[in-house]
Amino acid sequence: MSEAAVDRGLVTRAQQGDQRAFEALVMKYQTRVKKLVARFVRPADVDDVTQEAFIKAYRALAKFRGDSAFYTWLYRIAVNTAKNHLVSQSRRPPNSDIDIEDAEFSDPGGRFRDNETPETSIATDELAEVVQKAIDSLPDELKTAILLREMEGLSYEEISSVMRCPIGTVRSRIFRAREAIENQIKHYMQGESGA
Amino acid sequence: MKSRLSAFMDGELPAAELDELLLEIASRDAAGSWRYYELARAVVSDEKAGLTRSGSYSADLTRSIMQQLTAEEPTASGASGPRSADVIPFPAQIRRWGLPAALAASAAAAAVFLGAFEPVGPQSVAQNSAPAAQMKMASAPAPRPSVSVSHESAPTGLAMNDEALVRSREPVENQVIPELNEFILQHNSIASSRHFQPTLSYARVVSHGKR
Repeated sequence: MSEAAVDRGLVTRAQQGDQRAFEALVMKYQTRVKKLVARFVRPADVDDVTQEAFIKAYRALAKFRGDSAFYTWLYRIAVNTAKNHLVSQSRRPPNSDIDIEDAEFSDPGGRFRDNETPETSIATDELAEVVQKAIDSLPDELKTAILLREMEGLSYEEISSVMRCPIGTVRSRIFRAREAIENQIKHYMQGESGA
Repeated sequence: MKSRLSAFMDGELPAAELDELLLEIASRDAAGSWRYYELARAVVSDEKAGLTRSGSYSADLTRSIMQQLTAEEPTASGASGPRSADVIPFPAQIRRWGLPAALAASAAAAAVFLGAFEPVGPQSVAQNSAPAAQMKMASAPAPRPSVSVSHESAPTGLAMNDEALVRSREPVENQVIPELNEFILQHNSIASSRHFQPTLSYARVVSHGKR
């Protein structure tokens, strides 16, 4: 309920010209759109087509009346953009669309991994290790909160019930966990770039 | 505390905190933090797909998208922009010249069109003080494509339709060639012709004084 209201608020602000609001929508949905687009186009084209979809969405934002959820509307734009891209590449678009939930929650046959090389695989593994170490080094209450959220997918209310603390505390713990992980990754990245 | 971005990511941000979220986004590298949050999520959920793009982890498109939107100018995102008609954004080069130049170009195009029918008097100017309501009536008939034009005083991203444009540029609009006025008033019926819409949408507006 809150999430839909927040999206509506962001869309309204973006329609009124607040680019930060649209930026927030881009941040929130770009990964989902990428996954969707990756079902249609070559891995090398995913970013370009995703970007194009968001640009089209911004241009058409004045026409969005909120009859559906913002992501449902964005999903349709992304699918059409991907199909148009295939046509422009003289490739035949698929006859049937991809179910919106299927696109969001499944890894499209490893298509993201198609351009993975041994070098990038090592870098990826190292990065994953850094994140895992950062999580392991968190204080228990932070680690529990972030794992319940990210592994189990519990809501803040459910986590507050499990951890027997107020929702505000859950929110704070998850944020502090993420902040700590972010700092660890930045530290790793700086070491990499300095090496 | 900068926890709003984190709560927003989880879909747990109260709508009442939206303004604070936007301030938070403006005050720091929110997109960067967001990517780190997603990275952690991908690792925890063992979703390697989110990590492997671009060699390290999925590239962030937020900055490039926002840069492109900023560079190409706000177009149709404005709430006051036309909603039903297709929006034809002005090229960036034209916008650089400013609105007066765009209006002048439209009037010149209309004058050229008029020249095929009757000569235009030299430098004659009609003074017009019609209220905005009359302008609205003059520009009302027949649906037509709208032209989105940026304006210095408009908020970022706000597209203006030509009616609002007229209101905001009244002193320029009041300088009308009488012959052009007469011609357009007598030939309003062809204004809905698709071929002349871009020109006559302006021409009809400047003719409002001679009803």
